[in-house]
Amino acid sequence: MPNRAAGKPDVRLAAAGRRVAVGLFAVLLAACSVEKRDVGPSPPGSAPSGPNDPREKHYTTNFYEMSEGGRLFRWIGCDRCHAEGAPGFRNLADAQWRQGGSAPQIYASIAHGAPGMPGYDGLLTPQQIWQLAGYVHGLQEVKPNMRRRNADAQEGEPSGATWSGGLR
Amino acid sequence: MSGRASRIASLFAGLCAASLAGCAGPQSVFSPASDQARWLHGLFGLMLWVCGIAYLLVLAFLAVALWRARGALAETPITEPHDGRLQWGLRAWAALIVAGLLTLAVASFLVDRALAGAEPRGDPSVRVTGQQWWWRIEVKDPASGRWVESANELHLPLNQPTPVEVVSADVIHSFWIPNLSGKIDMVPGRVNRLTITPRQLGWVRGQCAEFCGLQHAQMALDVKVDSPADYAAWVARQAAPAAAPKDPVAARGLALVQDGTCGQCHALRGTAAAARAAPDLTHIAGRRFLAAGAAPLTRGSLQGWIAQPQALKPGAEMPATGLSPRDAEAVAHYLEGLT
Amino acid sequence: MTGAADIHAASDAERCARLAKTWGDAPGLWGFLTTTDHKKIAARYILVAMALLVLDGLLAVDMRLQLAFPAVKRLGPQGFNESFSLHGSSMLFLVSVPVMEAMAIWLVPLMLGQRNMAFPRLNAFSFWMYLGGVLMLWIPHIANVTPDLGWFEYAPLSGPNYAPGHRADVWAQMITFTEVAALAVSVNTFATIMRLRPPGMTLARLPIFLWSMLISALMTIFALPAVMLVTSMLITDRLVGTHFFDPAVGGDVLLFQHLFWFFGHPEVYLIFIPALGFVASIVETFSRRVGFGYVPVVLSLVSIGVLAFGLWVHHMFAVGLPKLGNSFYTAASMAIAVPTGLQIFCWIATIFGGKPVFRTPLLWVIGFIATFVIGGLSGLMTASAPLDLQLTDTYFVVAHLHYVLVGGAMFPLFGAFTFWYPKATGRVMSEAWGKVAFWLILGGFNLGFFPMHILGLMGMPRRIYTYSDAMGWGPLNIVVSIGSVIAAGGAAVFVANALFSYWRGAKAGPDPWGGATLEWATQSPPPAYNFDHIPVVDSLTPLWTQTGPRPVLEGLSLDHRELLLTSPVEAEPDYRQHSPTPSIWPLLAALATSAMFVGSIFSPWALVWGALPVGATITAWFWPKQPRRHLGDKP
Repeated sequence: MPNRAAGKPDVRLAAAGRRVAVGLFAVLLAACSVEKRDVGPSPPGSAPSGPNDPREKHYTTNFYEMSEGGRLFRWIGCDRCHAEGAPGFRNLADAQWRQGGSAPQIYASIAHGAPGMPGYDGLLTPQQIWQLAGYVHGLQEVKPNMRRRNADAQEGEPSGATWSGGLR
Repeated sequence: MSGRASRIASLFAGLCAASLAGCAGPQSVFSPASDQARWLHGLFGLMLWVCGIAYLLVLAFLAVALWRARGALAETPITEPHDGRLQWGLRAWAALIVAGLLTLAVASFLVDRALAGAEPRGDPSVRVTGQQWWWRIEVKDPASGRWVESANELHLPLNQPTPVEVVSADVIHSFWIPNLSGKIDMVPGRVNRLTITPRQLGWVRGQCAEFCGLQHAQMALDVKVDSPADYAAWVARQAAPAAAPKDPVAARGLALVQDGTCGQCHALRGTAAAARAAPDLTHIAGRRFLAAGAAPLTRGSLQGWIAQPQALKPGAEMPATGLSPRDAEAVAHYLEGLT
Repeated sequence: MTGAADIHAASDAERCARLAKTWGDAPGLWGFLTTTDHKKIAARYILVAMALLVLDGLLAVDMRLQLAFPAVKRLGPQGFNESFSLHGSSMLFLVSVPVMEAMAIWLVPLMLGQRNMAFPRLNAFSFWMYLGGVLMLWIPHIANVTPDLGWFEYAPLSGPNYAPGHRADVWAQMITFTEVAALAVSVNTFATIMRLRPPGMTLARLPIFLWSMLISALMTIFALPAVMLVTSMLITDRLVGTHFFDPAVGGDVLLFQHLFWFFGHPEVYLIFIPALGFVASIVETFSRRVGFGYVPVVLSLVSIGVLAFGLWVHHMFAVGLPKLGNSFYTAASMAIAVPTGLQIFCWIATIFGGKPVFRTPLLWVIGFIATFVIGGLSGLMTASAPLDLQLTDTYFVVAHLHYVLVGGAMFPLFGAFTFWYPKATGRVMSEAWGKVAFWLILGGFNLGFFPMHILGLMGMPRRIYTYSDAMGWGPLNIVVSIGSVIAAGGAAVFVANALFSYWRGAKAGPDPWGGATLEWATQSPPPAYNFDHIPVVDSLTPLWTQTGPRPVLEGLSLDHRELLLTSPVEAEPDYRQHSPTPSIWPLLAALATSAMFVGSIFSPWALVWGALPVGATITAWFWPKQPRRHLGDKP
């Protein structure tokens, strides 16, 4: 059976090719979801339905939602207490979660407050809290120099009731 | 300098205005309403004449060349042509180009000098900050010497050279009111200035001219040229705190604004809402447009905007608030009273 | 081994057979991947660029549908921003510049009577890198990671804070790919024209086309490093948090614009100057006379090449730089009208003093003159520092740049495509359909773009996805959209004509138009070795002056790939240069470089680990070969 012997590497090659194709396709699909930027009419959102809320993946991986969370973080004034390098429990980038580190848990901390921090339920829309939770969740994965770089770039933007007057 | 520039202006502006009258409008280079825009309009007229004549000369030469060629069919190519006359033509053509360019360069330089010469020495009395995707307006209140904040609507006094300072809070924007002046970019890290000397009362419109992200298209600035008295009244009105609610529904609206989501980003002077991330709402009902020109400001558009801003301006930073229709109505009713 | 006597003794048929064997490629896929034949590489470049031209044209029609009426809700802001970014980036970086380079790769050796470029493997490498750049932009587009910030992504909008995700990285790295490719081609073209000219083709007998390619190659070498620098700075800002463009800690956002436009303005000219070369060839051939004003035209090209580097600031008049400096750039920008205007005169004078034959290529040149001059004159308006404040970033500039790039570069390109099509395929494109395409494109283009001038003056900024009815821009926008659809229809006719003629066009001999330069001396399509004998040149228009048997030079090996090197100025024979054989290593080196570039979007370490395979493949590529042989040596 010389044909079979000759056919084997081909089969293996085809299988490898299929695997590569499937892998590439998966990468492309993943790129689709993390880079997605859907703008347009949207509902105000709602609080997490439980620890396994299906929206968790979207808000913790989508670049656009996370960066919106980063902008809000400054606009709302979160950076006053949770500035880069803030000490102890105010440091959100040290991977130590006292109130739990999953996005729904962070959502709950923002919405209902934590020791020393007011709750923002009713002050922010659920969609905004989700975005903030996604941003905070991802903070520890961002290298400190990059976090500082981003904070610098936002220097001209208002924070809470203060605004230094634009970058000049 | 400005006298010479305006003479050029008066010479050519009339001719252009006649031919392009159909293109005039509240946001058009063709209806200049300030000294600066008139000089630029005049310069454009001169350019149009010089360039138009140059174009006609090229076309005429081309037409003659093609006309001469009709019927001529050569089998053997010409490898040793006699071009004496064409050589002279080339020299004349070069001289003509240089003369035309000198005219344009000198005129351009004079207008540039005129623009620079019109700048008064004093401190700016108006400051505009570009933000994604709206304009923060600050005017100096001559009564108190303090800066008063508003948004998306700018008033300017007639016949007074007004220095305007432009900055950016985030990315590069460009401040452009075609009827009043050429554009100037708002560059983070830089303070740019321009001077506007309005010569005509009325409303004109400006728009961001440097691509600044998703809603670059809907970042417009409503501009009104006022008589000096009206301008002073406008500044005084902007300096006043927000009007108190007149009825219980409005009072509920105020409560919702300052204790709810609105107050986290917006400020209403005289209330507890003091955040500065979003446009100042203290006198929102005194403005003609909503959301940097996205819609005329009416009760209906206000209420729609509060309920679903992303439908009108997709990508804008304001989220759907999730207020119940009754609450949204109360908020809209309250805001409607803030003239 | 064959001796000199053997070369002379061989009969014509035997010569051709042996040359074909020496210069031919391996059969099948292997030959496809390893070829270093400049004609095949250029054809690939042109086919890819033409395919992208069609896609980008469709994007343009898509945008025009969005803007045809006020407040259309079809594309939305994100879709529209992606469309114009993809259209602009793809057109400027992946179509205009590469297609001009491809014309150089295809034509320069033929016009020099040579058998290949100076660096054949570098040529192959450049195409694979270009293809990498194309895939770098379009595969992410399929995955919805489309750059959405225009074709110049100004910082800080493209910085880490305002452009989340990898869209801006994709754009920046696509540029690195295409610029590596463009630099490789430019070095190659420059070396080829300087050292591989046929005996007798002194610099004073260099056709205008070759002058234009020489100058644009030199400009590319000077201009492109600036844009590679700025996109690399952007990537490091985004990847590792450097602060080049961050004003809060001493960075400068204007640095981005200075570096970008120091490249960006010359780029326009390195698209335009090759087009001037096409025009020169076409005008000369169809006017049936030596082009008028050789010296003024060459000096004009040189001065455009020099001046182009001194006027980048006219893209930045509105950023608030000192006024006196702006005046200097106004003067420099206006000065460029002198050489351009002189050239226009010289071409019309050539038609005037000749006996023109009105075939489609000449029509394209006439269309070019009538259209491009409008773009040049509107360029004078935007060159004026004060007036530009009313014009920049409006539809006036959109109109201006399309008049210059389409009228000034694409029309000559279409003419050149029609002109050299028979040389490349052996068949002539249909005249009748060519004329239909010409009139549709010329009419549609002018109908579509002229009103944009007025729209800009009426206050319409560029890059807006919608506008309200109250602005009064509606009527002109409908006209613009109709014009663009007509022009797209014309382009479809042009493409259909090119495809149909490939199989059904009338057969062309070696010289269907009665051309003057050397490429018309060989068969159509040219064999792998281009010329049976190396031609010798005694005038600017050798095919017109050499009426008898053409003089040739003998002595190159038939069984080894050899090129004749000549001296840079006088083109005296210098030595025989071994020309590299086909090789897989350029492709592998390009793959390794691509992996490094793609990886460096995600991690700076990709540059370190990625450099190893690049080094390995390049070492294999440059593995020592035979030494050069002087004339008279035994091969």
